[in-house]
Amino acid sequence: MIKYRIQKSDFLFSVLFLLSSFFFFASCGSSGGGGGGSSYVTISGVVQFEDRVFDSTGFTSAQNKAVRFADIEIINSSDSSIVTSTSTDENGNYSVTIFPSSSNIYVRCLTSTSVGYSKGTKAYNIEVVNGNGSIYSVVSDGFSAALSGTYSKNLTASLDSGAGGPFNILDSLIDGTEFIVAKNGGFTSKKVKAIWYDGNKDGTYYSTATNDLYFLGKSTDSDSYDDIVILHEFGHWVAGNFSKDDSPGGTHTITGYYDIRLAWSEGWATFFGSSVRSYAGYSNPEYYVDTTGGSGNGNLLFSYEIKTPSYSSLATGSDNELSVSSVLWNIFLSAGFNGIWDVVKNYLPSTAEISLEDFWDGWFARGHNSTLNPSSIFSARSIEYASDSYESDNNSSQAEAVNFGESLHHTYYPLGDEDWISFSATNGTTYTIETLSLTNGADTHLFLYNTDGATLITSNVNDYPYTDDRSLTDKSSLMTWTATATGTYYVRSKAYSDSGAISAYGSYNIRVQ
Amino acid sequence: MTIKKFKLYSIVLFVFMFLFFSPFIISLAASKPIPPIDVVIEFDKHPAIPGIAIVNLKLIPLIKHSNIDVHIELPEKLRLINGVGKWSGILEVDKTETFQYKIYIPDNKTYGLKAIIILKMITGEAVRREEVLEINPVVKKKELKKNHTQEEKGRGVIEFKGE
Repeated sequence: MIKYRIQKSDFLFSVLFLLSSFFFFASCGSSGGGGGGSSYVTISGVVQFEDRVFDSTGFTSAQNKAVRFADIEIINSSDSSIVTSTSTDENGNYSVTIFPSSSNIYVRCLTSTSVGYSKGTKAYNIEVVNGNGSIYSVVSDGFSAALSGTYSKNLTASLDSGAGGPFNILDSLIDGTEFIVAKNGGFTSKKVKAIWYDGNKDGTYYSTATNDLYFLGKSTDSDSYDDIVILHEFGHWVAGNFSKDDSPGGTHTITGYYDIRLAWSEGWATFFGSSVRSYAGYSNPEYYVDTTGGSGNGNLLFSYEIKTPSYSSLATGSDNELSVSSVLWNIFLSAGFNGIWDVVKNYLPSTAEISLEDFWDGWFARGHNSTLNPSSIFSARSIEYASDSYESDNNSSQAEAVNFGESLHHTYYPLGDEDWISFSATNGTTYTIETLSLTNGADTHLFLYNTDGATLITSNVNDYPYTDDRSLTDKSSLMTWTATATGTYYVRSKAYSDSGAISAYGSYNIRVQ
Repeated sequence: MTIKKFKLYSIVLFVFMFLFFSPFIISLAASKPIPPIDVVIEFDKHPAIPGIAIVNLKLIPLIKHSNIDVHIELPEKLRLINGVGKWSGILEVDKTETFQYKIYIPDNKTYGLKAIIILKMITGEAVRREEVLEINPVVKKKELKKNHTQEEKGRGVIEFKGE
């Protein structure tokens, strides 16, 4: 333990300091209260920004909305020094008291909450900046506050001025923060920083390298008013800061089939955005809407729905992000957000190669199946986390006999499941043994056994380093083999589980011909 | 140069390249979803007014086996000199197809050239995209009061005039 020895001189200075402080605050108190406020200037007002309302067809109208919890500064015009600062409240109101001064001053409201507004358990630490890291603001005209009294200074950040967009980003991020605070019981001290500027062509994304959010500002696609796009990226931020994200990244469209880690990451982010908008009371939160950002109504880039998902026949499997969003949204509608959040926050970080498979496992591991069995929700999107109709077929003695050219549908489920088939082979005949129509992230691995069901003849080694795959881009398996004796042979199929394996489950067809 | 120096320089270069480029590689880790067809409409050549503008419409289908309809809508005073106003067909996935149009622009008034693209999937579902190219757009002046750079402890502030 470190011990400090208090010097006599230190003690004297401390007493003097305390006395000075007392006289300072006492003098302030007497002139403000006893003097009837005659020596003070109160500056107050409401700050708003021009918000754009949208639905699945694009923008529908514009209306003013309060700028919540934002930093307010009173600036001395002559030297740009900050006279005092405060924050707006949840209705955009602010009020500050200063000493009268003949200096010209003005009010400035920033796209930041870095002053640290706090209310109960709420604490905001959000900043919206341009490409150089400068904070946006909206300011009043300059005025002199030489005479005591009350000055009303209302501010509006309009769309046309260029200030509305950054304030809308701030507003959406506050919605997102409010949601996490409510569901998580608190936030994190980490700053949420969003970068947007007119002309930004770099892309809209969350960077794991900087932990920042970036938004497009192109003339053909600006995201400053795309609330659900902003919240989608904030969903990635939440995953990165409260959970774990193993997405390999890359471009992705909602009708495409990708690495199950990417599908989870993107599906979660869209679901999260919709959850925030549901909590905040916006209408039709199940819609993802991306606009061009152009002025006037419409200007839709594209939109889709996640409840009964758009492009429903394509929104299938754990490798499609829209399917993942839909599964989460329907669980949310049936069981609320808390169970989902519990799995995301408390289960997923302990797993590797996070995907919808891990969410499924976590739902059961954390006991949420007592609230909701999600099987029907998953199967509605053709996600087969269930045993196939040929079980049990876990060894050669249980193998399902297949006819030449017949295709059998299988799933790898539960964890570690193996599927065995048998077929009759004729001496000298060449056979193709293959897996087809892989879905839900399946990565098949085949092994051919002799008539005793125990002696390995070969396994599919096609493409280094993915030794089980048909090609570098196709995780299905293919073996070509010529029988050296007539008899019944056995094929063992299992999920690839060596180095680089991502999925544990998956669906596929198997065929011998 | 000795082998030892070469190795050292290689390591330094690798570290530099990694530090410089890794944020760009990683930063795209979580981008926003894109629609099933990417559409860009832009001027290839701005006209001397009155004159003829060359406009390129670029389409990139992102899903296979989709039939695509393209329809160009022109305001009354503009004339399509060259190019197909309506087109239907199948485009190759992930490949950019460019449609070019020559359009006569009579004056300096603002017009909107609208391209309507409908992508019909094999499943029967469709995606509709509309892109508008503004011709002679009115540039709105933004009321920037002043741009403080690096003020107050290194913090820059951009000030817009409130209304």
